[in-house]
Amino acid sequence: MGFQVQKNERYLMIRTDFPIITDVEVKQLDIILKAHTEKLPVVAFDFTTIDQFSPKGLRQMTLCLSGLSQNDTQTGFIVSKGLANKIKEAGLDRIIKCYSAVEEMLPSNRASGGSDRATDFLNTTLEAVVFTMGVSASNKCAPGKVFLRTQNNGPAFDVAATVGLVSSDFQGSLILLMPMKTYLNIMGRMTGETYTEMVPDIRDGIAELLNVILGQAKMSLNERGFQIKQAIPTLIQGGMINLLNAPATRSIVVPFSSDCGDFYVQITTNAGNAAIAA
Amino acid sequence: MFTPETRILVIDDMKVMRSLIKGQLRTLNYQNISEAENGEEAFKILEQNHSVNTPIQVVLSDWNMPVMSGLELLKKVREDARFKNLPFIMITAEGELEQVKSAAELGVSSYIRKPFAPNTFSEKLEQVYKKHCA
Repeated sequence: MGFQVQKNERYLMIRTDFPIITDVEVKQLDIILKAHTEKLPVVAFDFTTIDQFSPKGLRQMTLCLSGLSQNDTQTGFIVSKGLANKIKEAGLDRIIKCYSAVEEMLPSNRASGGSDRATDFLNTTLEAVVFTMGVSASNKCAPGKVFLRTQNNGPAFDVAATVGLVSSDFQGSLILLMPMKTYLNIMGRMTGETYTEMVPDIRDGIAELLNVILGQAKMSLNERGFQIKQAIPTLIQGGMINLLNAPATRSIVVPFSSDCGDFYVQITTNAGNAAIAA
Repeated sequence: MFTPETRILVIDDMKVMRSLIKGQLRTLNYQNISEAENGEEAFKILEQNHSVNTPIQVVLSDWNMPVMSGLELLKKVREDARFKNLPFIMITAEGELEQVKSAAELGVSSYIRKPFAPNTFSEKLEQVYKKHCA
């Protein structure tokens, strides 16, 4: 029993026939990985024969993966559904990515052209909106038809927040816009209070929602090489609202309907890297 | 398990988040909740409470904050003999491996990812109690 290493120009694959992985086996793995001093874009661990990890083995494995991620190496486990579920139950599925085949891990099989990347970005961001609204405010929502924003078709809103998007693919902004009624309903659900008007307690709530949406989307997108940097969202107030109503850059708007009322997500890309809003 | 009298410090630069967290803690019957806007203000509260013999017993801290971040506060707390064993839960929208690792290396007790469900605090506080106090 042991580890077998297979390498090609796209990935390094490590296979094993051990039935269980403990910290002893992980130490062996670490030695194998350290022997590869060149940059490895993708490292796949074929653990399809394994039924379980010892708790200590799993802990050691997360540290081992952490070392690889510092070199921008994408890692993943090829495992059975049963082991993938165990990793999820242990709360480690965000650190240990599980796949059923190595092909699923390869970047070219997930997002190849600029258009695919833009769709990938948009879909992931919208999923993050739905998830965040659902968990934070028990607010079930669904995206409507996306449209290109002009000076004449901007959505009606009273409250908004923006955050800068800086990634390997583009630069721009992610903006969350809401009519007051929707906003007060959402804040009420989040805090368990009833609001009939804007009060200081909830003034920054939209920026916090946007922060969580970006954090959620960023984690998923960065696993696919977008390299998005987290920034701190800001409230859009006063004269900034007029700037939003007269966009000088390409922007798309996604309207959402929700239990709390309608709201909008706007994605603006800077000139020269307008893949998202193209 | 922690009692309703357990002194909890909630730290977040967003007022709405502090309200939300305090609201969820109150539904779990916790009554002694202090709050701070950033790590620097939080550390002063930790020191003040310690000096009058009513020490904070659990910290729930946001990560990204102006003045002093949650991670900087965690480092400062763990370097101080008075607070090095204080249960410290980090609440953050950041969930990537590097962030988790850096907090773990500094001795974070547990970690809550935003967005969080209402029952999250109950589970995490129980987990942290077992780790630090049981």
